[in-house]
Amino acid sequence: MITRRSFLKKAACVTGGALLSSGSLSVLAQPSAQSPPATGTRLDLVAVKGKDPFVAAQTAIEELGGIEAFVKRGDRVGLLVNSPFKNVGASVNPDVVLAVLEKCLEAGAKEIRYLKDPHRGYWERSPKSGALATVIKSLKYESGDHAKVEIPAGVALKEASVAKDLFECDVFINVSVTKHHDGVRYSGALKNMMGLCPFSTNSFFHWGTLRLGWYGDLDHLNQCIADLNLVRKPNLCLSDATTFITENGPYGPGKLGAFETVVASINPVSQDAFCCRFLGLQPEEVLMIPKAARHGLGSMNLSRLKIKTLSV
Amino acid sequence: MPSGQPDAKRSIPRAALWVLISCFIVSFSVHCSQAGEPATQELLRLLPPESDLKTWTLDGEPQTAEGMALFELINGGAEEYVKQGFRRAVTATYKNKEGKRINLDIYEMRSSESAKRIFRKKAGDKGTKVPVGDEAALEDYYLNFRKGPYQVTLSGYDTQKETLEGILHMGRLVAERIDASP
Repeated sequence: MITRRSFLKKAACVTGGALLSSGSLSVLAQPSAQSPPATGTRLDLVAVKGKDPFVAAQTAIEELGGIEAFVKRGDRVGLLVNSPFKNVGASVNPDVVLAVLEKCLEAGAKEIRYLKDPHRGYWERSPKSGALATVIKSLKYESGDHAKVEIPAGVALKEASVAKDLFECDVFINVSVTKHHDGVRYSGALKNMMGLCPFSTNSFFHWGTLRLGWYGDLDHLNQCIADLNLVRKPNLCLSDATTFITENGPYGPGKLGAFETVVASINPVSQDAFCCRFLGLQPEEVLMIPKAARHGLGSMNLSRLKIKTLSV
Repeated sequence: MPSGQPDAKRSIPRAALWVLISCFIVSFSVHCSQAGEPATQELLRLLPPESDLKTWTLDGEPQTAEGMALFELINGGAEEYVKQGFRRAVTATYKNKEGKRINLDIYEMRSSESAKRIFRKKAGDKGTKVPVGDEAALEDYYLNFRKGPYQVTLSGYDTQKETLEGILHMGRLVAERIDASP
């Protein structure tokens, strides 16, 4: 298990221009010591339907074992939220994020780092932003520093420039929005990881095989996304399927789907395998899901998972 | 290079091409910035002034992008615009005293035909036809219209009458300013 401190020691080499050793990164892809075990009576995935996204998100976390199963007192939490898009249904509902933030602070998180800055005016979209102003103020935002990391097990992506903040946190929480995507059809937890990379790295995802068009080589793009997820597996995933665009993604605006559901799980593959169905897709139809499953990042076979659905 | 393990014969030219593409990206990236660069001043003039908007005021500085820098401004949403002949864009957000917000995106395309194609892609045959610009489609919470070489999108965060009226009012003001632009 790599710790924040041990990573920082290694990252010192990165700033000097050297790449991290392949050994250190293969460890990075393993579940954190704080991840709850996937066996036994613990649930793999929880889907909570409810009118209030804040309540639904907090209930989902409780049902998955409570925030204490993921965040310990004094932890630094890194929160990767899909929230740079200003159109409704293209970013996570801020109430879902506020619910996670409040839970992390309750658990005694020392610091919460927003790994990808939200769009301007994002918090004001929430009616709870006034009451939770101190929670929002306590957030730290992205440092803008990137580290070049090797991905030895990557198939198409052997190295990537990734936000350094990701490796400076003890707990990593991935909060995505379930939505349509013009290129890869569906955007969720796996795709959200691209938010950690600068434009130059993401351009390689799109143009790395030199085929014309932003989506000229979808197999390569999907493989790169799956490979990028090897860099660090989240301790906890949440997806907002309350209201989301079902066309014109990822930016919108477009027709909205409204399933009033928040989904929580312990790995991004199961999370996406479950959530892509809100868009009428099967996991096999979203290429990055089977590719990430082949990397051992989680199971896309929903029938083999312990899933609980409930309404609040 | 499907496996990330290029064969020796093709790796050098591909690497060189990739370096060229990277330079291309970087050179265009510098064009994505806060408003104020000379090339986009003309586009900024299409934004309705607050004096014409009554209850709506600008929320922060408008942002602009030229060419490939659109990818930095609207991410993967840029693909279709670039494919259809994108030139430059300005995006701005307006808010009122109740805290409601309206997003305004103006895309200057290479020609009226380019604008027509992107309008078809964004609006399809859906929505309610409304008299704004050359062609317009109003949906539950957003409006798409085209006027000459411009494709314009306005979107709110709810379907309330006040928001939709604001969207339509703003859309008409933008269409008038396109008419009046040189």
